[in-house]
Amino acid sequence: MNDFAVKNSHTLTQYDIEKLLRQFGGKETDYVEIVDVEKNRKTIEKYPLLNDIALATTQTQSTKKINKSAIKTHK
Amino acid sequence: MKRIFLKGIKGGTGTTSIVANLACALRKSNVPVYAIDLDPKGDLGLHLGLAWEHLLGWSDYPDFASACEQFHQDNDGVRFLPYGSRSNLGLDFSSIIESCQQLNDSDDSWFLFDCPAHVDVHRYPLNEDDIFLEIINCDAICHSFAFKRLNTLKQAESSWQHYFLTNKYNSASELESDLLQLWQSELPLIAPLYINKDEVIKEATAFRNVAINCAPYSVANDDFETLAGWLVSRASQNEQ
Repeated sequence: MNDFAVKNSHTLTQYDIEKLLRQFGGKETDYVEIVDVEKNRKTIEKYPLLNDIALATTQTQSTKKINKSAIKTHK
Repeated sequence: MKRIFLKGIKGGTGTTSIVANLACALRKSNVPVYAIDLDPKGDLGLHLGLAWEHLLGWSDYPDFASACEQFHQDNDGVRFLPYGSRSNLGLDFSSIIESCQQLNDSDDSWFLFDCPAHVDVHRYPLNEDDIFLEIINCDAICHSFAFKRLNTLKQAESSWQHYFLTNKYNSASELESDLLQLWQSELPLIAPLYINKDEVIKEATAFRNVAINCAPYSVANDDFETLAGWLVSRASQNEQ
């Protein structure tokens, strides 16, 4: 038997959105973008070409980070 | 004057169909709409009812003033300039884009440029109010091209508004559904709308027409009206 008093809705109410805004949003944020990160990760892993591109773009970013820290060390 | 540039990220993405259908959707607001074919392989005129035998276009004239003879008007009131058969090398696409300023008869005028896929975005004379739509299909090659494009845009510090617009989306395909969902949450510059694959677009072309006239209640026509509305909102933000 369903307990309607505690059943969670799958639809976001205004209350849910305000709660998410308080939790994650900044002062000037007027919307919350919900991203299923786990599903996206699985999609990328599912297709080898997408995986290659994701790896390449991530590596480029990390290389840049390393370069930045290297410059700092030289200073 | 609002300028929209549409270019396929690769050949065959359906850019010319979007230009023709979008032009007619914008014309519903009774504003002047110009569609300029910059693509030698585009055949924009065929989508807008130009006779198949008609070969002349701006590329057959030495200057813009004489090329204006080749402006045609379709039944919806869209004024369009075909590419032609390139019998005269006096004009190039950059000078056509710049010369279109002369036609600017109203602040509400829309200029849609059908750009060839092989000419890079950085070769166009773009300013900060211009909207550049790069058309992508839901496949892995477009995914690859989109990420390559993002790298070049970052390096060039582009000032215009650049968006990726998904065309021919087939929701029955698992791959396409996966890709669209991924793009909508993770691909920067993806437009918040997409054009569904719809047989109506091909059928309308076979009837020398566009979706709005052949199937006004079709999914495709809804998509083009949504696209037109979104562009109006983007362009009005520019004016503020």
